[in-house]
Amino acid sequence: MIVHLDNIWKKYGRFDALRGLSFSVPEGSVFALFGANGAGKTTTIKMLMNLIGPTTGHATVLGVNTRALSLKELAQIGYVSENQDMPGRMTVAGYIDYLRPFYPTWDRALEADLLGMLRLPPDRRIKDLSHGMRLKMALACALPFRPKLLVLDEPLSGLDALVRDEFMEGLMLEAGKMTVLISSHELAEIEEITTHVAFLDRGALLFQEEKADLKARVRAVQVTLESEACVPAMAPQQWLDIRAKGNVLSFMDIQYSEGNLAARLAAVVGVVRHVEARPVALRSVYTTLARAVRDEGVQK
Amino acid sequence: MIWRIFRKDWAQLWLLVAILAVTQIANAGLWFALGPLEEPQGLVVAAQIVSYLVLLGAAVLITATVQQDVLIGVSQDWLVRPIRRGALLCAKLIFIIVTVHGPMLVADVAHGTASGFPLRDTIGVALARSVYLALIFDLPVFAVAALTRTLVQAAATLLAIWFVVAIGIAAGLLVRGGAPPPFAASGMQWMTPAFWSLLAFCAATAIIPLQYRHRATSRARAILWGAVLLAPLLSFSTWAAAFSVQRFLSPDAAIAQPIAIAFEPSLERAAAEPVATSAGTVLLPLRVIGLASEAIVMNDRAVIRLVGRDGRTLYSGRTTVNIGYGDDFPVGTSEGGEVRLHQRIAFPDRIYKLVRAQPVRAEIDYSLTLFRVAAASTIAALNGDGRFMAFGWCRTEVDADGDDIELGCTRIGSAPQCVTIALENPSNGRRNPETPYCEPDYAPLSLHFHPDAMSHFGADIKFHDLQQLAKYPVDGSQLADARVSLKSYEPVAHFTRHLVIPDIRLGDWAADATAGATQLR
Repeated sequence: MIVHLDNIWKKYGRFDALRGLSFSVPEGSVFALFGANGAGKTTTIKMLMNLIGPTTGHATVLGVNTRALSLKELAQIGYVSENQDMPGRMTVAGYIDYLRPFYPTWDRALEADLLGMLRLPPDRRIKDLSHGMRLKMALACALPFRPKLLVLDEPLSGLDALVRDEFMEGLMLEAGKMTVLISSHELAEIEEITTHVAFLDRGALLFQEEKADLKARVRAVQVTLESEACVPAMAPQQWLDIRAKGNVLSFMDIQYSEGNLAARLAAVVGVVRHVEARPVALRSVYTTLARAVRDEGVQK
Repeated sequence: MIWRIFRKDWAQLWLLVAILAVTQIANAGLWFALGPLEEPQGLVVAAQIVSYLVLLGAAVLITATVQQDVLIGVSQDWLVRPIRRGALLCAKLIFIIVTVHGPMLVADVAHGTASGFPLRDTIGVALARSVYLALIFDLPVFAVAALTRTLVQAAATLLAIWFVVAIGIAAGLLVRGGAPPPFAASGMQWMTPAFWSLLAFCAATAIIPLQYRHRATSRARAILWGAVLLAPLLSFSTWAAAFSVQRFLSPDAAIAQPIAIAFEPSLERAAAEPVATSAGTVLLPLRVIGLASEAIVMNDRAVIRLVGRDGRTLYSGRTTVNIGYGDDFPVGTSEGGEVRLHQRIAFPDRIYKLVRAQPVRAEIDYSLTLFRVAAASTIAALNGDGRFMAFGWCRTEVDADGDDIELGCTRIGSAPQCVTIALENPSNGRRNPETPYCEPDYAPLSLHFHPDAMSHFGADIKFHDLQQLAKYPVDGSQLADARVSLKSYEPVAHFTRHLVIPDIRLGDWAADATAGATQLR
């Protein structure tokens, strides 16, 4: 595992920003950390980058305790954050020139490709760049040394569609050659490149899973009944967001299995005229799960 | 890595560096242009302003250098780069040494050598000034910069520090019932800035590694404010404690052992020099014995206690209400041996009325400093221009009023702290009264850093009274043959003496409205 967290707690006074967080990021994966604002994504990432320390618990990055990250590890980690303060008075080219010698593996050809693709003006001062430009600048400074691990903290936040595309295009240039840990509350844009997901809610992990497995077991189910539908009083816990309209009952099944759905439906709602189970976008999975957890708690 | 960081900072700050360098060179140039006599007067103000601009500019450059790579917070890009913290710190320190102290050294050396001082001496003094400033100015400013994000935050922090220290000093004043700090305006006033410098240095050397190694901002801020809260501490200390430290630091304590002070009733009151004085002032006749030749004894402080026949303390207080360099009791002798004098003691009117007619026991505790002559030179009284080891480059000229000789000297390093000056005419042996110019500084290490590596001192030497009330042995008609005699004195021993007068009626020694005394030689 390239990143591993074990029962991490982070307290700010009486507020628990992280509550017993544990997850692992497999090497070569594109691991997405999802969660609402304030879920603890940025705190987790800052802790992994040794920008802050955990209150209790243990975390490793590239096999090294995060509190002991050395220059060797930092030279293999790329980091892009929406809140990254780069020296504003330096120009784009000046800062890249400054950074280049710190990385033994810096690839000038890749640097040139990225600068072209991201359309960064080399002579402009960093403080004069727009928010989107700065994020692209951060990416241009994070990729040319071909990091083993790329950490992206809300990289798409506040970007317009054009810049988002340019950013993703730049990211895709190197994706697949490294492990990517990406935090976001914008799920749609990164769903395509994600291989693993972890959902955070109020500092705790809802679950962590391979995206393929998750998408296989979660389905939006729409059941057409013979008679008027109503929300069953004793529905299985795995059915979330149950709604009834006319003779149609809809819900999200988080333990979907084609084999036993018919039997479960018959037991709960009686005679079924038609069943349709569709794959669900990660965004819907997350929002449904988060709402369920917030409302009463659910077995994941 | 250090060189790369240095170059990056240079690319960002070269303009500020250039402005500071120009200001430093302008500072040295202005003081050189002023010369020993510091003329024209209008330029002195400009030079003083520029000298403070140098310090301000240095503080701004140091802060900007440190804050190129801000240490507080978690969003700075450099924190996730493979940059060694030690290299970053070294790069910053080297940058400050090169950009602040490089031009400073050049300016100081240029000023010194242009003023005619030997290159070797000038370099030594300029280096000492730079090292001193680096330790007591650069490092504390560096530490504050390491705890802040912007120049404005750093300035606000420095302002807050000043405010807290001022409140602490004010609290000390309140505790002492409005009296100034015990050793203010004495040769021991070096202790407060020395204590502050030591405190600032210690805090800075704790904060800087803590920030660069661990970025432990909360702990580092606790150290800063702990030091700030300690800063007014000396305002609460006592004279006795401070003078004990000073005695311990005496360069040659044994030399003062033979010196004794005795009550000398045989010395008539009429022998006192006519100096206007106020009611409630007593002229106490004293004999000081055991003095070596060419010595000055300075009364740093004397406290008198009057005890009634019934053993009750009637009064206890300082012998003079003045805050100054013991102007009631400067004893100077060129021959050594014994000196008789009247010590002027001012009592509050209420106390004086109470005790003047009754016999009392008087006890006086003296804190004294013995000065020995360190150097002597002469310079022509009219348009003199000479260079002396002890006094530096000196010039003389008659002032615009035509009643004073203006003497001005520029010296590398610190100015002599106690100088006696007399106008004499070697052709006829006449000599005007010697005048002491003393600003004693008992610091064990006398380091000069402002306005530059050179110090300036001067005096006005009277030879004519425009009111025609006094006549001088060497007057204006003899100036062509006259010369100014300078003697420099250095403190060699700090000591205490306890004088007991078992039975005295103070009214017997009262000064009347027209007679007072300072000293007899």
